[in-house]
Amino acid sequence: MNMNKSGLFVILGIILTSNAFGDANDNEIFIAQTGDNVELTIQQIGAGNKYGGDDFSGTSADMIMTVSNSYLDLKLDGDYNKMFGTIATAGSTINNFITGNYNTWNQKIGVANTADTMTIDSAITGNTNSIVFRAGNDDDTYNLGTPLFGQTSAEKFWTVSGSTWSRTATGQQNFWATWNPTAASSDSLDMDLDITGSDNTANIFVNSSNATFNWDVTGSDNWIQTTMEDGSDNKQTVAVTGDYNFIFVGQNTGSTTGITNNAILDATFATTHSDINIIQSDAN
Amino acid sequence: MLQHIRTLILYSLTLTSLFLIGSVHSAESIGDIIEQTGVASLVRSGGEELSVSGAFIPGIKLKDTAVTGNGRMLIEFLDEEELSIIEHTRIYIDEAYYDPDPSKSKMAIRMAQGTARFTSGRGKRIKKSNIKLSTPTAEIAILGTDFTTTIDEIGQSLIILLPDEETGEASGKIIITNDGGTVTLEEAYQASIISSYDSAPSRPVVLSGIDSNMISNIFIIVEPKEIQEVKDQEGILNENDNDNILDVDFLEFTELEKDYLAFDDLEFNELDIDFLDVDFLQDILDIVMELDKKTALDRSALQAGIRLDGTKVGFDVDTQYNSLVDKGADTVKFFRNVDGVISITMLLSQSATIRTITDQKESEILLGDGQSIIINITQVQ
Repeated sequence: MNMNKSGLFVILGIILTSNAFGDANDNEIFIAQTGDNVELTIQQIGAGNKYGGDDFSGTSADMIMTVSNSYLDLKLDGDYNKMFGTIATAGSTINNFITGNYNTWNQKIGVANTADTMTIDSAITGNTNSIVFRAGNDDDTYNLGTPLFGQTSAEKFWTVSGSTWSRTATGQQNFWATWNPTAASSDSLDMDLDITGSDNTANIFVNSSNATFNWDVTGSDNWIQTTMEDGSDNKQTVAVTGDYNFIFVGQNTGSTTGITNNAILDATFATTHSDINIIQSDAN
Repeated sequence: MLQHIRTLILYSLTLTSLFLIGSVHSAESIGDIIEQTGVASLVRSGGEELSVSGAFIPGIKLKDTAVTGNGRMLIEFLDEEELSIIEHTRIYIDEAYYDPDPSKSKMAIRMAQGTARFTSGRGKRIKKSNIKLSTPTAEIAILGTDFTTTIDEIGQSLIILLPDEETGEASGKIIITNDGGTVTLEEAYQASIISSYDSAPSRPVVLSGIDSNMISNIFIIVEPKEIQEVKDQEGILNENDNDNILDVDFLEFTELEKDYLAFDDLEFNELDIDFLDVDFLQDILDIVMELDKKTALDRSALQAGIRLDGTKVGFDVDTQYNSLVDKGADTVKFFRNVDGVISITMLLSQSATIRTITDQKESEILLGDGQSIIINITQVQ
């Protein structure tokens, strides 16, 4: 990593543990970090730990990090942990590792800022975890209480009646109008996500050009939904192993008239009883 | 002061020129049909079909699909690239963007069916490396090149590098790439056959018995009875036998008998077929045999035991899917490169329904009984 002499150079190494979940002794890490060339490693071991911007006593607040060219290594080991993060950054490497069950991860990269040339590696091992991840997207109305698959606009998209199926004429527009990102970017993002476990819910939104997103799911009864929007040359490589999974993949490219934009999906499915929906659109 | 005014005028003219050059977009013509015979048409991106005739020759626009029935077209693009299309051919013009900076200009053309000859332009508005050409089974990168592609009804492609008409030497270089590998054609009349997107292009073979006067006549090749006799003698099966790679009969242009555009097949007769060159045909046979030895591909074995409905192993013109079976890995890959790239790999033992909606049509592929996995794919512009 290049060290900018004029930038702030911080190395934090924190290992915190707790044994109970949900009690007053849980670890709560409030993060408000600004600077360049930050090296930050945090590992929380135990149950009920939290990364965020407040004590989660009421409406939780995201942690806020505005860094660039930095290395962030964030780990949660245990159950019922939470990580709510806003990371405005570019040129950085972020590693997220969550091991355990019933964890909540809501991370926003590049909100109201760019998140270009990023490398993000994430791995979630466990069951019944809830994940919302946005890269290069502005804040939106999405929250854990209104999953994408429950949205009216998404439901409108497909009309299945018995063995016949169709899509509504306006479903496409409605869908993307609802989820169209409005700010920021994450050009040349290289993101990997591995989910091992069952009954996990993951929602990933990427607003990016030349982005590569590789994700693997091994387990059953998972709900995985991803969208890559704006720009061109977005590529998703998908591997799903397990049964009874719901998969939604949306790729919406193209914002320049006269340019063909390349959405590439390379998917491998080893599954049964799964519902898989793929939308590729060039209609911004 | 006068010098400043001159400078300002110069800048203004320059900017105006740049604007005009850079303003070519989808709504404007990106080329012209400079020759046309017989039945041909352009299909606009919105689905409107324009019949091309002597009385009406529309300009070429971005996203057009050039289609010939019993007819031919010669298209010249803005940078003087020429695309010659013969009977029963379908070409998608995906991209043509002219920027004042040639390195930013782009062109992308997909050869979907039939035979076409592409001659790169002598203009300077597009960096040649930014011209992307593709067939259902390969991507073609060019370096100042004149070449032909012939794509049969199962998507397999025969690509021939043609000579420079003045020097007789190779007109440039072609780099053919797919998931199976890369080959380079750099000699005049060098050719390669590509059977599927994940099979390596065949070893380049130089064809003999061709001269420049015959170039325009090698597009349509009909297998003569002598070739059929040789195939029978050597146990090489025909396409309908559906038995091995030799069923890919580049010499038998059966797509000429198909009616993709509701044209009257009866319009087509032997007078529409160009003459044949025996030596050329023999070379083609050599290529096919070489490929057969190299791949030892047995198509009937691939198909055996696979319950696949709605498309077929290899390239399916109707669904535009390449269905690639890997018996060793026990997988089938469905690959489609139309308005985005979809590649789905599944186990042969799986049961799935793949429904695809595009602006043009819908299709449904069943693997097994199709009951266990439902995959809905929508591709819209």
